[in-house]
Formats: sequence, C-alpha cells, structure tokens
Amino acid sequence: MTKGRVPHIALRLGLAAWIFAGLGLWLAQFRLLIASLLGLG
Amino acid sequence: MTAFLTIAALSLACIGFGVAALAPFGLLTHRSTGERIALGFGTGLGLLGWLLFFPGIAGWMNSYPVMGLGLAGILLGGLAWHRLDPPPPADPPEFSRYTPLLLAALAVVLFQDVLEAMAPPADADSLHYHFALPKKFVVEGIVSFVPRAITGAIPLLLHMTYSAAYALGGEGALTGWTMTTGWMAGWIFFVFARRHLSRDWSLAAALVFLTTPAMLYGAGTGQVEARIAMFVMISAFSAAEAIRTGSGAEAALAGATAGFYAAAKYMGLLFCAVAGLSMLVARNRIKCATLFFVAMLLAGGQWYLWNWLHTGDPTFPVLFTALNLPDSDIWTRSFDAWYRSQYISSENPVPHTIWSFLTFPFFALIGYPPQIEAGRSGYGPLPLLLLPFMVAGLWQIRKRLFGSPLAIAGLIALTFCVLWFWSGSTQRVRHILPGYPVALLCLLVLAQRWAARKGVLSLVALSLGLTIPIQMGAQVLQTWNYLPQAFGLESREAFLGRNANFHPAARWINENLSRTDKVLTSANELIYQIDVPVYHAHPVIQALVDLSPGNTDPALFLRQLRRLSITHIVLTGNVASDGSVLPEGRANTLGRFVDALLKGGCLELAKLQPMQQYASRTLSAAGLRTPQNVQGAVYRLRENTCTL
Repeated sequence: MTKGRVPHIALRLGLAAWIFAGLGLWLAQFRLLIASLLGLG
Repeated sequence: MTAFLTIAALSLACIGFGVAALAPFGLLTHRSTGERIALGFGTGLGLLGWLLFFPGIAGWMNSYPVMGLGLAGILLGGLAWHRLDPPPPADPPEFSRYTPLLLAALAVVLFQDVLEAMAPPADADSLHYHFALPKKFVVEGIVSFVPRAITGAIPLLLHMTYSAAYALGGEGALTGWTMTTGWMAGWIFFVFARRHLSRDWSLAAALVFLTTPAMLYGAGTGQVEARIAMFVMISAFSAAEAIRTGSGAEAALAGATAGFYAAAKYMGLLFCAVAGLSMLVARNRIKCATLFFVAMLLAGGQWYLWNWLHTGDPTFPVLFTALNLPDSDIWTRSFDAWYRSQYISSENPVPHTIWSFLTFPFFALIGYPPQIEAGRSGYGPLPLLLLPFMVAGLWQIRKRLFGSPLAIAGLIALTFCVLWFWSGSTQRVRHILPGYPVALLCLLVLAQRWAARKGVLSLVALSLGLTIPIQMGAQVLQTWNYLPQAFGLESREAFLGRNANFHPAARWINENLSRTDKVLTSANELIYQIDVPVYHAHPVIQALVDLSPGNTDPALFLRQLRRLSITHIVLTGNVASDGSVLPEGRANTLGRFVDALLKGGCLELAKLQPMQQYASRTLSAAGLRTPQNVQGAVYRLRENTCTL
C-alpha cells in the first residue's frame, strides 16, 4: 500500500461507522413506530 | 378553480410587491431570474401582510381590499420587473445522471404536498388559531383584538396573508396558500444554496430541507415557522452582505425582513436583536445600523403597537408584571402568576444550565427529552450524520471563516439559537425552524468542501442518500391520511371526523345553532371547526372566563358567561349518559362549574355525543394508534330556572 493509503481507508471507515451509528441512534427514537410498521409491535 | 386563481394571484402579488420594493435600491441587479423571484416573494409576503393590517383593523377585511392590493402588487411588480436589467446569463442546464432522480424525488414530495393541501385543515394549532383567527377576521370583516395570550394577542403578519387567501378563495385557498408559501421557502433555500453548491447538490439540499420532519409537520399547515424561514434567510444573507460591503440597502432589507419575523412571531424579537447587533461590525456601521433599525421598526412595529394600545403591554402578557400594569377584565396579577406557573414549566423541560446548553443540540438530535418534540417535528438525521464533516470543515477554514457571507449568515443563525435557548422561550425545537435552512446550508457547504478535499465526498452523498429516503418515507406515512380525501373517496365531514378532535360537537353545533348563539369551549381544535360565534375559554391563556384553580365561584363564572353573551357550553369528555359531569370531569374548573350550573338549574343538556380524541392523526390513519373515545355534551344556558 502506498503511503497515506492506510490513514485514508481508516478515515473512510471511521466516517462510515459514524454515519451508520448516528443513523441507528437517530432511528432508535422511533423504535416503537418502526416495530409497529414492520408488524412486530 | 377559485382556490387556484387565489393562490396564483397572491403569489404574483407577493413577487410584485417584493420586486417593486427591492428593484429601486439595486437589490435585484445582477441577480438571476430565480433569485429575483425568490427575494421578491419573500420580501413581498411580508409587505402584503403588513399592508393588509390597515384595511383589516379599519373593518375592511373582505375580498375587495384584498383584490385591490393584489392587483396593485401585480401591477407595481410588472412595472418594476420591466425596468430591470436583463439577468446575467444562466448556467447551461447540465444534467448529470443524478439530476433526473433528484427531480423525480422532488416531484413526489411536491405532489404529496398537493394531496395534503386538498384536505381540510386538521392540525391542532391551525384549528386552534392559525386558521381560526383568519376565518374569524374574514367572517366578522374586521381584525379585532383577541385578548388571549400566546394564540390571540400575538403578532399576526402572516395570518393577514392567510386572511387574504380565505377571503378570496375560502378554505381550499387557505390550505393551498400554506402549501405554496412552504414551497417558496424551499425555493429560496435552493436559490441561496446555488450560490455555494452545484445544481445537483442544491437540489439534494432542497429535498432534505423540504422533507425535514419540522417542515413536513408545519409547512402545509398554518404553523408560521416554515414561512418565517424565508424572512430569516433573506435577512441573514442581506446582513452578511451589509457587513461585508457596508451597503445601506442590504442593511435595510435585513432590517425589514427581521422586522417581518418579529411581526409574525414574538420570537422574532430575538432574531432582530442578533441581526441588529451584527450591524455593529459592518463597514459604515452607523449608516447600516440606523437603516436596519428604522426598517425593522417600520416592518415589525405595527402588532406591538396594536397590543400596547389594547393592553398596555406590547408583548402581552410578557411584560405585564414588569410594567406593573393594573388588573383588568382580560388579565390580572393573580392570573398572570397562574399562567406563568403553567406555561413556563411545561415549555421548558430542560434546565437553563451550561451543561444542558452544551448537550442540548446533541440530545435534541436524538429526540431527548420527548417534550421538546425533536422526533416527528425535529430536524431529521442529517445534522448528526454530518457532524464530524462539519467540525473538520470548520477547522479547515478557521482562518478565513468570516470572509464568507455564508459564515456570517450562519453565525447570525447560530447566535439566534443560543439566545433562544437562554431566553426561556418554548423549547420545542420546531420553533427554531426559521434558523434551520441557514444552518443546514452551512453544514452542507462545510461538509461538502472538506469531504471533496479529503476524497470522502461519497460519504456526504451517502448521508444525503440515507436521509432523503427516510424523510420521504415519513412523508408517505403522513400523506396516507390524505389519500381518501384527495381522491374523492371521503367527504369533508368524514375526513374531519377521523382527524379533528371532537368533530361531532362542531358538526351538531353548525347544524343546530345560528349566528345569534355563542358557544364556549375549552377545546382548542373546535375553534376553527365551529361556524357560529365561539369563545375559547382556555384555562391558562385567557382570563375573561377565569378557569384557573383559584376561581371557585360558579356565580362569578355565570356572570362572566353573561358578559360574553354565551348561550351554549361544550364539554369534550367525562360526561355521564344523563348529561351530568363525571367525577373525573369535575377535577378541572370548567367541569366543576358546569356541574354547579347544572345543579343550579342554569344549564340544560342540549346534545350528548360520543366523540374522538386523536393523539396522532398520522398514526391513527395508518392504523398504528387507536383514538380515544370520549363522551361529551353541548349544554344550553337557562335563565328562567337559574338559582345561582
């Protein structure tokens, strides 16, 4: 791997992790609604 | 057809007034056609509301002055537009492979807005006052003072434009007008976004804005925040231009639109303070600050003068105690204490501490605490997803931050939000929606620039790609409720019956009472629905009928009813099958008084009715929540047998 490639991949992975974690955290406030929509609640 | 023509005429009148006001000061020179329409509409909307105040209070709130003003706006605008220099050549319409997708998504969003606008109003606050007041003003032909805190004696600039729509085109024009003005907020946002972003990014940003939960919640209803967002965008960007260039015209425009915000909502005073103070760092600060202040006062002062003339308090009832005003029929010292104890605590669940202040934005994004309603009427997931991009972007441009008009506008919006937190205003986050588009644009531009430089732009696109479908999904869930009405499968009455709280009571009253009767109710949602004269006896925000716990005298209650010429009272629940008030109903003051008046022979049962209360219209329509069935009643006052 070229120099700088590893930090770049780490940056991408870190940001992607933040995006999905953030989305999960945001969606968690609607968990009851989502469960109802999916027929689980 | 009438509704459509009304909306078209009012839209053209707004653009006309705005263009006629801005063009002579060179504020539309070198602007594209889209910007001219956007700036014209936003400014003209405020001007139309401002102008309508005068015929309104003079007793000419009917279709003729509205038509006259509309024609004047169109004519003046046409003349001013004709004299404008040709706009600079537009960018060639380059379509990327994403453009059709974004345009299709936008069409879906706008189509759903149309479906919502085709239904009768059912939003609780609109039924309570946003639409109820314009209806009252038009039916009575005059803008009268409404002695009620928070929802009556308030700045009503935008409600004047609602009145215009109602006077010309009735209910259909009213809902259509809120749809149109909500769209125009999106258009203005797009136009400002285009100054900093490409067409595709701007389209995506507009999609995010138009589908933001707070916009889905309020833009199609009478809630004023979505429309005020136009004033804030124009004011913040004009203030930024005034600061950078020292332009007096830009300062005056910033002041006028900040004034329009104050004329549409008390919270606008906070924005006026922030935007006004920003003039102190402008080039030509004396000239800019003076012009800002004069324009702000002219644009925003009328409703404060109106309230002061009627109550002695320009911001009724905020300064009642501070101004040491004497007790009157409409407000007393003891009632003020009761009002403060109820309102302040219920609207401020988060303590005013440094820790709460620092953590509030984060918790608000994930919907905590529930009282601030940051979920279904908040700002969606995007700000949270782009947080690290924004922080990194800020760091990247830290040394040249304040050279950018966007950064200055963003700082004004941010300071407004900070002041809002500490002001003790309601902490429901949807109330700061006016500042959101400026903040959203800053967020997107910072994130996009930094990500492009670091080669992670696809992750910003991913954030938008996740946010837009989720928010559009929420809109589909909301629109589901309007489909039967929009496609003619359901009558107006049937729609209201399954959406508006306590509708059977309104229906019976409209069918059986006349304009010589007068109904008293504590139910907010009934005010718009009832077509005969109605008095809203809210227990906390009005004192003409004192329903505070301190009042235990049914005879005083009866005197207050007689003074207001009340003929009927509605109870929306806790009524037994013989019409008597159940013990649970006697827990509140109105129920207790009705019980006493029934026992004293001063009231008789006119109609006993089952009715429904909806915690959520959207969830009820989707079958996810069951409405609460209650038994209510309409009572008739009896004079002959009354022993009180």
